[in-house]
Amino acid sequence: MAKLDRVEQAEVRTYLGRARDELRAGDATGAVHSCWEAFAALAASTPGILQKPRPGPPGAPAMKLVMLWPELGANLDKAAAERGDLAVTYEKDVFSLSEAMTYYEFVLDTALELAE
Amino acid sequence: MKFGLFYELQLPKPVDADWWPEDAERRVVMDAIEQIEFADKLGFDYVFEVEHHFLEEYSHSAAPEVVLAAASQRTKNIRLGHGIIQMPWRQNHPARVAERVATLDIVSGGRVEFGTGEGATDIELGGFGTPRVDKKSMWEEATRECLRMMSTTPYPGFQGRYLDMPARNVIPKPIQKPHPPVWVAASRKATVQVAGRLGIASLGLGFESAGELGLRVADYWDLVRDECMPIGAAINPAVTTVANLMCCKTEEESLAKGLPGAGFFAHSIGRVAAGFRPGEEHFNREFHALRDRPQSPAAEPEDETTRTLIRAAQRGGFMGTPDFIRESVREYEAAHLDALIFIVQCGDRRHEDIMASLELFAKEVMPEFKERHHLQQAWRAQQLERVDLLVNSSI
Repeated sequence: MAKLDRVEQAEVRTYLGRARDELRAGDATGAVHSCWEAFAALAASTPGILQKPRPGPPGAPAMKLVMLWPELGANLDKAAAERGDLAVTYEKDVFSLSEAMTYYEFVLDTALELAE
Repeated sequence: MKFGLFYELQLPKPVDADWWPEDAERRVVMDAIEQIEFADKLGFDYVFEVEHHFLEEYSHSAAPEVVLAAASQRTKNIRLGHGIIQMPWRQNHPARVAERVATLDIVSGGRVEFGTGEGATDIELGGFGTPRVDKKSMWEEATRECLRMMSTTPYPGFQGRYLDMPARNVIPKPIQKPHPPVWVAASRKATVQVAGRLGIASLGLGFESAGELGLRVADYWDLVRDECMPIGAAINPAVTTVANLMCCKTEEESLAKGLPGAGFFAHSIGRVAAGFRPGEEHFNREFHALRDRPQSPAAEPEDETTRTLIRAAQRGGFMGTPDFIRESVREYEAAHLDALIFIVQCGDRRHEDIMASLELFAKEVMPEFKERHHLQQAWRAQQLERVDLLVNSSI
């Protein structure tokens, strides 16, 4: 089963599916925005997710999810997010494919780790 | 499994002096070239050399193309890797990169591995005026255009977000067609995934365990098969990682000769990442003052970067006897890692100890893995069965 199909929350899956299609079409900026929507939906569907320790690699301790959000121009106010106030500020109008891929993989892996 | 070496050209200041001896930089470069020449004779497959700027003590390797060109004239088979070239245009204009990589490919007889990256520290990025928030997109644009410059005649020109260049025939062209194998430095999981999506090799710098890498390898190949949007004209699918090597006849000897260098490596990379006052600090003196205090936390830290630093200072799986190291390599081999790239020169590790370690590893550990590499190649061919893309890989 493809990784995306294993995401449990339908809304998150929808946004990530849109991001995947945008990536395939070369619309990196659209994909970054869709990834944000997916992340916001994930946070809304899972209270406390931002403060939730995210499993680290074998032998490593967990880390708060909010601290792991990639800093590539779609900026999350991490201090506000720690208080549960989730908002993004776009520092640039255009994103590259590699930036969009980074956000996509981060949100997808986060959703899958929650599902497990 | 293939094997390589990884050079930062570390040069700690003497503890009892404020500056380096006059011939220190010459010596570290020439010793490295001698090690590379020896590694070539021993059967190592790769040497990668970093590009760093202004990172005194941590890395005096600002012009790897020069060192690799020198090494090319003293070696026959070892592949010469940039580990990596900082691709944002303020550090290196992509046309100049294309020219240099092609020229190195020519003088080496087609042995170049084109490693790419962004640059990481504020000292470096700030020195060239590269905004941190743009470095990934600058890397991507410059890498894509650089590869087009190597593989198209003439290069039709490009007006992008950062690069604005008219049509020119960028010459010389590399021997390897359409261009040398492409890599990206990947210290984080997400970059390994981006590498898979763009069809380039991951030069892992995260000191990952075999277990972690097994998961990343599976994910990487899924992306190569299903989502690959090649950044170049040919893909170079591969997952590798760096690790610190000191192979000796006894455990005690390996730790005595290996750990101080690894400790300095981790201390100095942490210091350059945090920022420092150029020309005014002494990382090695700091390291010696700190090394006798208890440093190791009971548990690994949360942050991926900090965790990497901690792991870099530790023994890992490749500091020990040939038997100990052999078992570690087998774990990575089972995870379908394509190559292990060893840090051998670090801290004040002695040239003679590095040469002896290389020789012992090559004689007592390497052979069985080289003999079995055809199995990995067959496994890779299976992964690529459904991939309808041109492949240029030395794995």
